[in-house]
Amino acid sequence: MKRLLFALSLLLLCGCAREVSPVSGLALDRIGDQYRMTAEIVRQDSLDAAAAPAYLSATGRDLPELLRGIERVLGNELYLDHAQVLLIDEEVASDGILELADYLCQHEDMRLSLRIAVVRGGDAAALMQQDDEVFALSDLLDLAAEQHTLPDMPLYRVTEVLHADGTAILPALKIDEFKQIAPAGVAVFANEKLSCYLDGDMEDGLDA
Amino acid sequence: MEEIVFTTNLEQNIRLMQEIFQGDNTLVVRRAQSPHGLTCAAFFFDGMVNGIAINQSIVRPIVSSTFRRATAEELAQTILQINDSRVETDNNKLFASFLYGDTVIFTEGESRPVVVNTKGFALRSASEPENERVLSGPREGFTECFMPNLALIRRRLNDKRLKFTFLRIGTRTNTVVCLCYLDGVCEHKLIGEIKKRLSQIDPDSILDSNYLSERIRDHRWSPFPTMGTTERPDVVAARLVEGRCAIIVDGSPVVLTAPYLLQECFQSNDDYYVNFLQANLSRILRLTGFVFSVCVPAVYVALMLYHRELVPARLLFAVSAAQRGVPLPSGWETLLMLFVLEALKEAGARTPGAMGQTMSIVGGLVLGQAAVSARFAAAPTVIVVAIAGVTGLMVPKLQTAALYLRFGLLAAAAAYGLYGVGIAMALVLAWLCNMHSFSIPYLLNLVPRVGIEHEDAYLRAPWFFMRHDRFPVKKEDRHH
Amino acid sequence: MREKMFPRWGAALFALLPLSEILYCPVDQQTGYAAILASLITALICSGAALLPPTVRKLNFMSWLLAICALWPLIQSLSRMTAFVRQTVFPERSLWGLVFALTLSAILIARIGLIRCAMWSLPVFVTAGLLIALSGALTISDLHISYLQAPMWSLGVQCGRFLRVILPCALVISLSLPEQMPGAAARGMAIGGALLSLISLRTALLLGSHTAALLAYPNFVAAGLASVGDFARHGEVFFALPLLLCDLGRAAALGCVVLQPVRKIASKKAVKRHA
Repeated sequence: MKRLLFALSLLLLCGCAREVSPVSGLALDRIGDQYRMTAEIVRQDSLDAAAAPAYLSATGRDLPELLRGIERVLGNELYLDHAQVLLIDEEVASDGILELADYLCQHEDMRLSLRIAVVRGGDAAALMQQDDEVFALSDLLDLAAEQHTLPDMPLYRVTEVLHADGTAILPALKIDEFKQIAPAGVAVFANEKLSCYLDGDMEDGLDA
Repeated sequence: MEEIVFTTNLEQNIRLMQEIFQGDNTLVVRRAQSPHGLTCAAFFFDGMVNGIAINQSIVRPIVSSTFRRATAEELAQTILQINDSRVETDNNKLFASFLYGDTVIFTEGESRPVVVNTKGFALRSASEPENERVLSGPREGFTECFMPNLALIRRRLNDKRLKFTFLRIGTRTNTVVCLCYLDGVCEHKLIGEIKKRLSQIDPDSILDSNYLSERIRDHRWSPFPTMGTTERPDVVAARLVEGRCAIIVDGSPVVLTAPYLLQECFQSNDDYYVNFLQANLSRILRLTGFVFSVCVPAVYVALMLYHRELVPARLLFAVSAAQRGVPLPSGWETLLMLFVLEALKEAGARTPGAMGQTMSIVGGLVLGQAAVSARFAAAPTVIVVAIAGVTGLMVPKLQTAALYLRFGLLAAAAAYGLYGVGIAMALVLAWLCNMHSFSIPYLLNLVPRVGIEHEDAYLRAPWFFMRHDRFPVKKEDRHH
Repeated sequence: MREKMFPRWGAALFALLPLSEILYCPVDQQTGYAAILASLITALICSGAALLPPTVRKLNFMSWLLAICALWPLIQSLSRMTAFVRQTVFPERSLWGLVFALTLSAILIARIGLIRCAMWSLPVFVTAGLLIALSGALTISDLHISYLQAPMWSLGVQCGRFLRVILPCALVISLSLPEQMPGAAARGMAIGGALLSLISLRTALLLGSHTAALLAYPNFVAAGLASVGDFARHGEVFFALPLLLCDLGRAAALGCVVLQPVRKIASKKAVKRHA
């Protein structure tokens, strides 16, 4: 009886736990004919400790399946409201991103200010895991957009231009020779698919 | 009560009085006889009267009188040397003033008594009221004593139109209630309405003005006050000038004013005694303080339970780290802490001074810091509750309303998040729109064309902009 | 308390009608023009209707007719509010609980009567107006002027859609007001329509018509892009709240119209009983 009561109280306490582990960034890679989604989840254990990222991955055929997969790994509700960056690798980019953008736009939790970036010549998940500071990536992209070194293309603008004429530009990132994340020019999309890159300072010429 | 009939026989009258007040040992009977044969008996209550007045104005003149016999009129007008003496034939009035410290004098051969005003009892001085302190401005406050209270008002309004109308209410206490207004400034209808309401109630006892106000005010179930209360004569004078009515109850330092509108809850008499820039700043602070006090716990709970996306990301990490390991969900936790806050407040109000220090240590340290480090409550919850508590003190007139609203909004937030809070506030607004105080809309500032009231609603216009004839005397409202 | 309707209150009540559309209307470049056009047409018709002599309005038949006409927009208001709240914040909440809560709130507000409802709507309108202005001002630097389009014929379709929602409701309210207030209707509809038009234009210029077409509540989502630094980044709930109250006010005003004939009967019975 006592044991039962103890178990019951333990259950109650567990049920009341209110931990949130917000997702700060997502990375999407294609591996063979499947996709792999990696989520950067932020945890902070005490008031004094710094927030630290944790990474969870899942594979699947489409986005809903991927998100469900990560949720299953997490064992908790996936909390996407604070996600600020989505990294895609070149293969995903060359498959076409219109569907992806549409899905994200219509997803209730996803923010329209989400920034999408293409990882040039490498694994998107690897690039996201390169830096273990939370929001470093989104800060980098925000700052670059402000300084016009990379295009300022949040999700809503990407969707708009893709729908309008199928061409869009997105910021590109890479891991440089010092193992740091660095801007890698502009990824150009034609017919909703990655077609080429423009390097660094050539971005201004693109509009013309 | 059977009819009391006094006779022309002095001894019989004395016996009758002693019979009536049998068992009351404070009754004093002073017989006085002059060498010429005038025999009188003075009745008064020990402790209620001014002894010097009785000695010098009653006993001495009677004893040294040259009359053999005197009628009641002669006694009152010629013999007694005192400012207020009259022949009283109405027994109700007689006993009312006798029980209140007047002296009753019977003389041989006269059935009608003479009543002399000899009231004199220990009073509190007109010190500054504890709960309506000001930074600058007059510091006098009302006391429990009736007549000096009226004098405090009269001294501020030297206007011949200032009226004090007396009523007696309460079958047991027979309390004097004074209706005070500026004739011609105050609307006739209002006076009539208040008199009507006062005459319709039939209470047993009136020991404080709240006994009256709870009975006669509009919307008796509402936590928002619809009758004003103040302990300061300057506030009463200002409200009278604005055309309001005051009700002064004997034995209570709290004076009622009517009508009373929501905007008055945010006004303080300080506002008129300091520079208008400072005054308006405090008013804005008070207004936001009230909104904060009511909303902050509810909004916090709503954000934590339903709208985490509204919390900036880094703050969210910190908050959720703080909440790790806390047993209760946010809603219940906030409710519990609010309850603790109210308990502390209640205990603080009743604590004798010597124990105050213990209270503050227990309250501040144990319930704040210790509760957080023991993971009993999350630090943000304690902060939120503290904000609600502190800001709640800024508008003392609305404390009851704030308390109820705080818990109501908290429940709404726990049920339906920010939308719940918003809709609950809209309902409160609808309720306020529906309220009125003595036929005046409670939210008068939403009514256009009352420019006069707008000059001093939630903000105060500087004195040089306020019109002199802000409250003009209406012709049809003048007494004839 | 003396019951009097002030034009200011009436105007605020009418202004709630276009404002309550903001949350739900689909947005493209023509919406702004369509909104102001529809509001002006409604304003004209309502001002005309307000001139109907009081003797006609006081007819029993008239109040029953208005009550029946008010039912449909009332149900529309309640259902769209429920759908909105459910889809944006409480997907797993029971539908009927929400319907019940919203209906109860609308009834509670409606109980204070049409005049006080109008009084109530003044602060609600001011709050909503200020929030819309603030939200617009915060996104002004992100607007794409190149998305701007000249009015085209397609605005007729949108205008018709607005008219279908706003006009019956406005007409019913304008005919059930206790006094003739043509000016209030015109002013309220014009101000409300202008705000609706501006905020739709903001959304169209911010999101572009293609993105806006993908979203169920474009104006709501666009408001989430307004931010002050890192704070209030996703503040669309704060934006939606007063607009939801506008819709609640609309439901309450229509509720008053529905309750009017019932009240008349009740008061007549009370008079008879006293007699």
